[in-house]
Amino acid sequence: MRIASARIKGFGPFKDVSIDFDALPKEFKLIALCGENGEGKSTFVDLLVDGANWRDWPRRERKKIDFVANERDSLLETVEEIGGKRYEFKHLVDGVSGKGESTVFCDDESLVPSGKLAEFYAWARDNLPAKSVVHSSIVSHPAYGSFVAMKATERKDVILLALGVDGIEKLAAAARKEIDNTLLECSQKRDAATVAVNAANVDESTGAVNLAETRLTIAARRVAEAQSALDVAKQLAGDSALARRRYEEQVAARTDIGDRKYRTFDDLFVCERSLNAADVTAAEVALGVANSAHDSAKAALVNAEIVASSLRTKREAANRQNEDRLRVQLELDKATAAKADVEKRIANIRAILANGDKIREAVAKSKELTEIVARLELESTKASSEVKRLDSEIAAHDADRMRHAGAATEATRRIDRSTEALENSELVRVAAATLDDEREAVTLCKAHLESAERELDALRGRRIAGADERIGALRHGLERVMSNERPRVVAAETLDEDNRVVEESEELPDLLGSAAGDVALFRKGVRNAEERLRSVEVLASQLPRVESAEIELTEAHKARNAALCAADEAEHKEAAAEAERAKLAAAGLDASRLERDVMAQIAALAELVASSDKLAIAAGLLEERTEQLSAHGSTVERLTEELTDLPEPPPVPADPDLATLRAAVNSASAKALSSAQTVASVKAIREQLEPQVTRLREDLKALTEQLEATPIPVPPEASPDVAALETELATHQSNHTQAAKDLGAAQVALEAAQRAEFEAVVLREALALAEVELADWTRLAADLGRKGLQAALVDSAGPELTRATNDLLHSCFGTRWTVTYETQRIKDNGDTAEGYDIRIIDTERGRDGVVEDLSDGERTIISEAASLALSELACKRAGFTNPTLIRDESGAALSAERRPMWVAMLRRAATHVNADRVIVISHSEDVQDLCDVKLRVANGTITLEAA
Amino acid sequence: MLLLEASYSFEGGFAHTAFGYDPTDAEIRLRYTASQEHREIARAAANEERDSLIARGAISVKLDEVVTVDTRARVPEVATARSLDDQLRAYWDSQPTGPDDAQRGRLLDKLHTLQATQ
Repeated sequence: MRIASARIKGFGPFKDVSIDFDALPKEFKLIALCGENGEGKSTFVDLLVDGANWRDWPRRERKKIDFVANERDSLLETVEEIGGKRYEFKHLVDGVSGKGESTVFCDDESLVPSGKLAEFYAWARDNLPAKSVVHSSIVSHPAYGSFVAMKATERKDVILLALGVDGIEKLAAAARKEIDNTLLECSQKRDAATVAVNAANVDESTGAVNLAETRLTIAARRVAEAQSALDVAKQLAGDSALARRRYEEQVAARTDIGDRKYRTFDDLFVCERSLNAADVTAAEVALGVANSAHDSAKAALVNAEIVASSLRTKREAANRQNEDRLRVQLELDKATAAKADVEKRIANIRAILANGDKIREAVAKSKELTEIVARLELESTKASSEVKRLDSEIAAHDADRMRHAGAATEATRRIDRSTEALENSELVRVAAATLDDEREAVTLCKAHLESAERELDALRGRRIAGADERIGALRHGLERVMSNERPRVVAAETLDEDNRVVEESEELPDLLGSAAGDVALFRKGVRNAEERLRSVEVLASQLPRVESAEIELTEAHKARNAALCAADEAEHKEAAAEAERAKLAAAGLDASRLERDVMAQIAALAELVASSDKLAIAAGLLEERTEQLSAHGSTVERLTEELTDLPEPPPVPADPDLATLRAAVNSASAKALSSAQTVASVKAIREQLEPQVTRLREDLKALTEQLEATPIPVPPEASPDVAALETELATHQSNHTQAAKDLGAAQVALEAAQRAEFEAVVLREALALAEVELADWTRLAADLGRKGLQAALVDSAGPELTRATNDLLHSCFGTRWTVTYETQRIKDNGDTAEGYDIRIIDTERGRDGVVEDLSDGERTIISEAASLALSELACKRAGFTNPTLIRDESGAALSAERRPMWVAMLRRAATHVNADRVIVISHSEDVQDLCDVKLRVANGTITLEAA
Repeated sequence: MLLLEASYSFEGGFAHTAFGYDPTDAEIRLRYTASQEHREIARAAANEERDSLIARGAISVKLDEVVTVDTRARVPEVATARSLDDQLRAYWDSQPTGPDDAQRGRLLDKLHTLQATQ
């Protein structure tokens, strides 16, 4: 993505600015975009990248460029090279309504002919590089979210986009969709096969057919039998209604007696069962048991209360003994600690006394080292001030060189302009020399013309005069006749005169034609001469300009040579100063390191030096501490004996559970009350049931005797039931018809089962094929997925990315940091997970951890190196050629010491990716000065300045 | 200040080109390269070398460690494969349970179908 030129009108602070990067000299590789806060530096690059390519306003989510358009006809126009094609983007926005149109041209062909935004967005989506790759590689801005600041999954996505293989995920998604479709297909086929298998019950259907045939045979036989029975019954049918009525009355009387007897028996049975259930003796026994349980629970409670009182007394005595022991133990611990403290102090004092020589040596050595440090500091300060002097000298030489280079460039421009002015100088000189000749030629031509015109006028006069002469001659002849001269003579003479005039006039037309031709010819000659004169005059008028251009050319050549000489001289001086500076800086660095080493030695000796004060008073202190130790020792012995004399009290058992015993007494009391109520209830029931049982026994005896006295009736001979037989016959006929129908249905079912069996075989084969398809789609989706080929591709980019990142870091920032990209990690459960962690080895601090643990400045360095390495990867794999790298204050977090290294890294990366330009936004003057040229943004304009 | 460049390899140990140099009264910076895996052992060897140089008369020896990272791709063949078909083949070759020839043919046919419809 190379930006060739841009025009911004009516966006942000820019009224109408244009910049043509192609017109800048190729050696202006690093361009510093500088200006005060709020002047529009970031707005400028945002419009160049996001605005022009995606019509986006990146600083507000989901905002477009109309957000910053402020005129009715705001215009953003850029020319960019993307993937080897030259595109012209043109966005028109009405700043009031927010509406607009966007067009893209490539080789004079409109790629978005309608200018509609939806079409433009579709075109941009299909033809421009992914925005996330652009933001994490060639364009770097702290707010966009750098590659380092991304999550692992986002980093993997960006790598895939940078590799140009992001389409694999779309294919994987399509494969996953196919899995769903195939799963649905398998499910449908499996259901259909199940249905077909269930329907394909051929054996059952054959059995059903056989059964239906058997039923049909039986039904036919029963119809025949019923028909014959009906015929016989019709013959034997007679009337025996009276015998049947008598018999029915006798049966009804016996039935009534029997019913009454059974009801009485039932009542008696119920009463006797209730009577037996009401057992007074059992209830009384239960009451006795409940009362005795209540008494024993009460006695247990009283005993337990006595035991608990005794235990309380014992426990109070044991507590008092324990308190005494604890007090003595505390005193003993305190005395023991004091003794140990004194012993430790004595050991320290003895150690100091033992190290006396070492301490004295350390004090002397420390003094010596302090002096060395002071000397080194002095040297370092001197070197530093010398380096600063050389820095200013280098800056002055550099400014001189740039000034002279600018003068040389200006002189070259003057030479170009003068050379251009002198392009037709020879013509001008020739014209000036021939100007007088041309003027004379014009005068001569005009004289010829006047002469020819006079000749023509004379001929015209002669023609008019000829006619007058003839008339005059005739008049004169007539006058002579009137004066009585001889008419014949006069006529002859007049006629001769007239003939002469006629003869003369006959020559005039030719002469007139010739004279007119001469006049026309001379007029044309005058016009040509005048035109020539005008051309010559125009050319001749340029003579002073040509002469001054020649003088200018000579002077410009002289100025350019002088400027180039001066620039060379300044460069030589600058190189010499830089070499000296490097030497001094190295010396200063060595002095600083040596100073650090000496400081470390002083720090190592500090402990011994601090002990020197203690050494002076150590002997006196030792005696004092020895006496203290003896006193503490006797106290410890005394307290130990006192503790031994105090016996440890025996353990006191726990109190009995009085609450449980009280609950048992309450429960037994409730049970005794319930048993007494049960005894009273049973007695009342027995008093009510006993007379009722006696009465029912008597009723049952009387009814038994009455039933035995009643004779059993004999039934009359039954007459055949013709109607029943007719009904039976109709039933059998209906059954026969139904059996015939069932047989037909069973035969149809058998045929359907045979068809279903065939269909089931076909469906099983189709299901097997669909399951193979499902397995294939599943495999393809997994292999194309994020854990498959995509992970392998992301991983395969690791070595290249690692090499490029470390090359940039080691070349420009030294060997302190080394970066590795980890694409896999083992989880605590042993599973392998795909990731994309960035790990840093810091040899100076001895750290080896993730990039998130670094400080802001360190993370900026790693982030820039990773971003530029990613640019390199994208340029190689995804076709970013000759990109314009943009850094929007991405190095702002760096210290002044590291900014030159960062600029060196930008230059190295620019060489690696063959960048067209590197646009660097920075407020740091040293960064601006390290760039090749400055673009200053101020008051809505952009001006070019020498760096 | 004298810069000595050295390298450490697991097989060859610690090596630099100035073993025969007389370090007497020299301030030396020993810059050595070591792979990420062998940093600890290389540091121990560099310390030994520093002690040796000081014993031979060097005034001071500063150690400057340069870590080299040797990262290898799990399936480097996918990076060099030209087409998606070749990338998939390379990926399958690297898998312990890759598909057989028949399934590979079917999978590639399906891939082509998907590519045609995209």
